[in-house]
Amino acid sequence: MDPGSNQPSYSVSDLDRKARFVVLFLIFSGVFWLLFGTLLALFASLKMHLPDWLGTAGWLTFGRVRPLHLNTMVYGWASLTGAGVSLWMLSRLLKAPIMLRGYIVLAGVVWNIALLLGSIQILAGFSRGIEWLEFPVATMVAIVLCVIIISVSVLLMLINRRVKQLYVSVWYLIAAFLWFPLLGLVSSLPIFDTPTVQAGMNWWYAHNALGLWFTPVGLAAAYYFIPKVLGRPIYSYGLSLLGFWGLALFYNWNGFHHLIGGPVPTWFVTISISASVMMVIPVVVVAVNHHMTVVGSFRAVVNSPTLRFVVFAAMSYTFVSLQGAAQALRSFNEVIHFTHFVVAHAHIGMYAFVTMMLFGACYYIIPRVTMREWHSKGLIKWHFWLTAIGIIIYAGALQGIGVFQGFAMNDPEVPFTDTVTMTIPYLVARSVSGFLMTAGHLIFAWLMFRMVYRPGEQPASPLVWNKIREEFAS
Amino acid sequence: MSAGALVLVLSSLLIIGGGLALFLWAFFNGQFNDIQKGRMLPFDEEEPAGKRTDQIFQDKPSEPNEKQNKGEEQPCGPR
Amino acid sequence: MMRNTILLFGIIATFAIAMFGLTILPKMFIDKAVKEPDYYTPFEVTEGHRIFVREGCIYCHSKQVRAEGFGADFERGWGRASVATDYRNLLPHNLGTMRTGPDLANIGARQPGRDWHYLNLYQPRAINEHSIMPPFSWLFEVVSEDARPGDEGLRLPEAYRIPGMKVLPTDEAHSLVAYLISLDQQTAGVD
Repeated sequence: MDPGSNQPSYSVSDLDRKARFVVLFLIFSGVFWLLFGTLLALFASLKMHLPDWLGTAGWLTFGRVRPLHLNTMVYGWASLTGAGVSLWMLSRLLKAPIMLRGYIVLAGVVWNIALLLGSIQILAGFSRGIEWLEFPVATMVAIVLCVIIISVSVLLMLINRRVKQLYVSVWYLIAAFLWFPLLGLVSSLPIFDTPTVQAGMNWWYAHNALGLWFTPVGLAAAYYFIPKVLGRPIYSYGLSLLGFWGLALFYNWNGFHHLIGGPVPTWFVTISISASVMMVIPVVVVAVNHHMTVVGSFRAVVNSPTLRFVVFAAMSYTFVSLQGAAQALRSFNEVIHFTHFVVAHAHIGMYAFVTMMLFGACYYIIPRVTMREWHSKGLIKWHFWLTAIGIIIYAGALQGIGVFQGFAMNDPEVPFTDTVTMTIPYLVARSVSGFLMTAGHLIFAWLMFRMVYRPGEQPASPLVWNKIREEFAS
Repeated sequence: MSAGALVLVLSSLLIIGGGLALFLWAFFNGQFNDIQKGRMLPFDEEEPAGKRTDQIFQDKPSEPNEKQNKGEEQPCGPR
Repeated sequence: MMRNTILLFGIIATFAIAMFGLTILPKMFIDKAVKEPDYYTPFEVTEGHRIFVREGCIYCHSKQVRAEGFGADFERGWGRASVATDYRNLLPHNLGTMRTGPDLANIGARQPGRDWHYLNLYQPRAINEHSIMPPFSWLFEVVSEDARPGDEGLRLPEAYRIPGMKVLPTDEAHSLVAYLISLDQQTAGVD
């Protein structure tokens, strides 16, 4: 079996050209949902300290806006953009054009429609009511089926590849595209029919949607873009494989530690706590590997928009994972469980790690697939600083007060109302950080828009509908 | 309950044994020989190792890049 | 090809083992403990649960009490530790992860009065001026003072009263409050 012996080989720019439409379509869909989710985030954040603001509109109540914010960010922005970024990386690393491009575009259209329907369903009050799985089952299954189409494309690319050896990013991506559909399907099974069993499945799913879908995609991007931009190979390939198998072995078992002290058998919780702590191994391995690759090239990191975001994201991954391991311990969890600390932890994971990684990937990919330069260097810097400072304020404010909130809650002498009032100034700070990040997202969306919309320039390729027909033919 | 425990112990032994067998196969098959060559996979003729990309905030594009590249010709890291 | 097969096998196997361990196994263990409920759940309570889910109460109120000695749940008077049989087998589960507001697993025992709940749902700041709970005014209707004689409406403080009008809970509010009052770990589920 010798893949690629008598097949045509493709240059990198050939592959990028073939990837252009499908990758742009997925990434731009993601950016739309990023803006939509950001708007919802602002609503939810403001309503935390202005509870009567828009208080008579049932469809905009906190309990509906907040879950929709999470779902559009997770299944809209991060998943769609992540899929686009993944397909582009796979195409380059396997030296094979993206397969089933027309079907992926079709899947993307269905995916967007499902997101839109799901959004209406949640705002109208038809939420499934399970955190991270608020879209009704049918909507969720539609999204999972769209991912499965992309997964089939990934496996076909693997079979038709023109390289012998698989880079570690490919390992992560293949795993992600197998794990996420499986996770989605298991979570939609109707067998979890008692409340506590469903709670266990809920947190196993929610933790692993991050651990088995966004984390592999994010790490694959870090393993690809850091060496690529620096022009320097990763420090140790052996360590990167150790990191992969460590993640595959331990991350799966996370989840029940969200129910510490809850009405589930203690030994299930203990399994997840130990798995959480075991995650220190792959995390430290990955951190050492990335650090040793980047060390000494600080100027190159600062000079590259991609690496600014990617290195910020990689550092956040190390931070958030070590924090997660600590926070799974019963003694720590006793304090911070049920506080804003956990909310901030989730945002460091999904924003400072996943979202920043995807921003960085976009800054590398979009110029290469559109063959154009970025509209403004200054705006890219603004985007970086607004989002970086925004998430740092966010995490600092909420994690700082979260600890005090936890101690106050565990002190029966403190009236419960005081545990609420003490957080208000920090909730206001969170809203301020939200406005900073929103400004960053608007700048990003404008930059992205200018990459495809240049009045006066003739389009180099066929217009949209011909393009789609072409994709199906290929 | 004891039957359940037996199933658990046996299945975990099976899993560990399976993992060990695969690892031993991979080791003696030579899968771990020259493992470091995998790290050159992201590079290609258009964007080769030793050449920085995406340095768009650099004021003087050529000068510092060349200086850096001299040290980068032999990719560093452990063998 | 052998290498790819092992890679794919490893990816699927690690997932499948953990899935079995953390979803199927708990199901086998917990389902055995949660027997067929020997109590009757009125329609009003299941309907109230549906509204509880619809309005997303769970994003600020947990519904699980930790055992005495772990946190201060017991000392705050939130009751004994929750057990799997406390949840009346109502789906989706409402265990929750946040305590922006207090735990609700035992709210029926702490606040058994319907009027308190109606007032708190209509305008939480009428009860506690520092509350940041959203008002759920769409669960209520505002009618003229003369309409529906015999029904006085909510006893609102001066600041929240609407001149010439009174506020009446709708059926949805009735159900939601019935559900909240049913959350009483002294009686629910356990004999």
